[in-house]
Amino acid sequence: MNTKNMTIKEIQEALKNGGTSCREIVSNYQKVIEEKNNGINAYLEVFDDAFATAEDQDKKIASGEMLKPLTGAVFAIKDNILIKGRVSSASSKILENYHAAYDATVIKKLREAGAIFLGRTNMDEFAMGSSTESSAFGVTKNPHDLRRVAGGSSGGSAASVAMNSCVASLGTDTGGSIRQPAAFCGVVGLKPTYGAVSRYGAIAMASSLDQIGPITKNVEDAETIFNIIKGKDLEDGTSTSPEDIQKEIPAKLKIGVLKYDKEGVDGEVNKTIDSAVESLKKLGHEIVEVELPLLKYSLPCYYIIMPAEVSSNLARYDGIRYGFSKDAGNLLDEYLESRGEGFGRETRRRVMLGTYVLSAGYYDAYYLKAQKVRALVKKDFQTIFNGENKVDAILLPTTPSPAFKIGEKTSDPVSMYLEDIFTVSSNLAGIPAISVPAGLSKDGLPLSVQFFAPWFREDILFALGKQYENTINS
Amino acid sequence: MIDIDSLAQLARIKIDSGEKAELQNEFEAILNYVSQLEKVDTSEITNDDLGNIVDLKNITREDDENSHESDEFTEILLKEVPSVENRYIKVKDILGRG
Repeated sequence: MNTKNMTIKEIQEALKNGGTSCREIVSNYQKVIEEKNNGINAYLEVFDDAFATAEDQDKKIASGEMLKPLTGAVFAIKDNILIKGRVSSASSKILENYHAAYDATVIKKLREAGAIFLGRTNMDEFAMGSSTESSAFGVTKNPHDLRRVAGGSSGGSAASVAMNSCVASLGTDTGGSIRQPAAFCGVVGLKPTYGAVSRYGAIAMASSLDQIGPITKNVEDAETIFNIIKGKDLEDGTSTSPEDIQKEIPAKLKIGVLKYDKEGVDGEVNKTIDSAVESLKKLGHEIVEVELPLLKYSLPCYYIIMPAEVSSNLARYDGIRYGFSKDAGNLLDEYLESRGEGFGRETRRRVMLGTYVLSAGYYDAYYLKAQKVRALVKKDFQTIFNGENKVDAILLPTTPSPAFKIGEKTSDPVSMYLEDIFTVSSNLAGIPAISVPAGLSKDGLPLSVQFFAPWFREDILFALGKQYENTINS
Repeated sequence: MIDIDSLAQLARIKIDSGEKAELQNEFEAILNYVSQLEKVDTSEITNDDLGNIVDLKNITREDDENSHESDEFTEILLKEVPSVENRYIKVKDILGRG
């Protein structure tokens, strides 16, 4: 059996009619890793117990047990999501040898649903970056063009799916870190509503923005996984299961196309949005134009709030309780040297930037101001989704251009930060968003479109995503 | 001019002089970029509104049968500690010895 481009549904059908076994599936994916990972560097580690789990599942199938929703579904897991007993390093030297003491809630849920974990994937250090170039363990290359980045921070997770070495992966998204690499690698990436999925066991970067989500071959698989990992969790006080949300989707949706400055965006990306508008019209949806007056301010706002939370969250890495430690003369030097050496360049920069914007004298001008702008961004979306001319979803690009070359943006942090221009506003407001592949550019690089939906309306993203996907694949 | 030395000290991060010079430039560029927020009129947002951005409220639970067994994680966590003595985490002197 060939697992290339297979979806969860197809794998389960093959298992049901005896066309394959879980063992064969794992073996196929491992062969791909052996063949391709040296060049791509998507995986930091391949787990030795995947076969045992697969054989266990095969026995259950042979004894006539019903398949669980993810039986035979092989996952790659981003290196910042804890799997009990496994190293979870957030691609940082400071956690290089750190073993997780417990399973993240998402891992527990996937395990119970029958998923098999094949390995952990490379990322920007502590999820800080848009290219995996800030990983302590080397860059992940784009499976479509090895000279280019796979995107980030969940670059390894996106590449692992794109290179056909697993059926799905988990990533985390703080400002676009699931959707941008998914877009660069030609796969589907979902950032759920803030609070829809438990963050328990995800190594924290910016806690008011972080969400875990799936990266998959198609929209249906993203939906399947989301429905398994979502829900209130007692271990995460910000997680919630809203019950009063209406779950009916009219056949004809009102979709707002984001008005943005086309000058700064790649021509093929603009064309992709234009043709998506035509496709959605043909499907019978109503298209209107929407404006996000604060779009250009969402990025500077993010680059104040995020480092502020980073500096606070990363204070726990002190060289004393766990992680890399540098023996020095006194306690202060031990902190300074453990953190100076244990953190990479981008992490050092963001912790210091966060320290700056939170320090007395600058707090009001930067942090408080950014929080106020964030409140306005949220209000903008409330008007768009609940106001007089409300829309059901927003269509916009995921990234300003297809995958860029390795090294192209490393010397200029602001140009790297601009990668997030179309994604961060959804993190600031907490709304769900999905990136869906839109074919290839003339250079053979993946293109994509992005949809936003109101809070807890992932169902709209799935419905629209599937319809759009069909127009691309037909 | 940002005092990078004092910032690095506050952030408990040791940096060398080469990085210090680079950070000086990068910080100017980043802060210049984020300063455009000044142009946004936020007068309609009061400090009271800010508590509601992510609709958070504190959730606590009783320390009862739903909590884990005492000592359940002690060994596994201590294994991660760089320096341990008799199940205690060892730290350097905090107050100098007089």
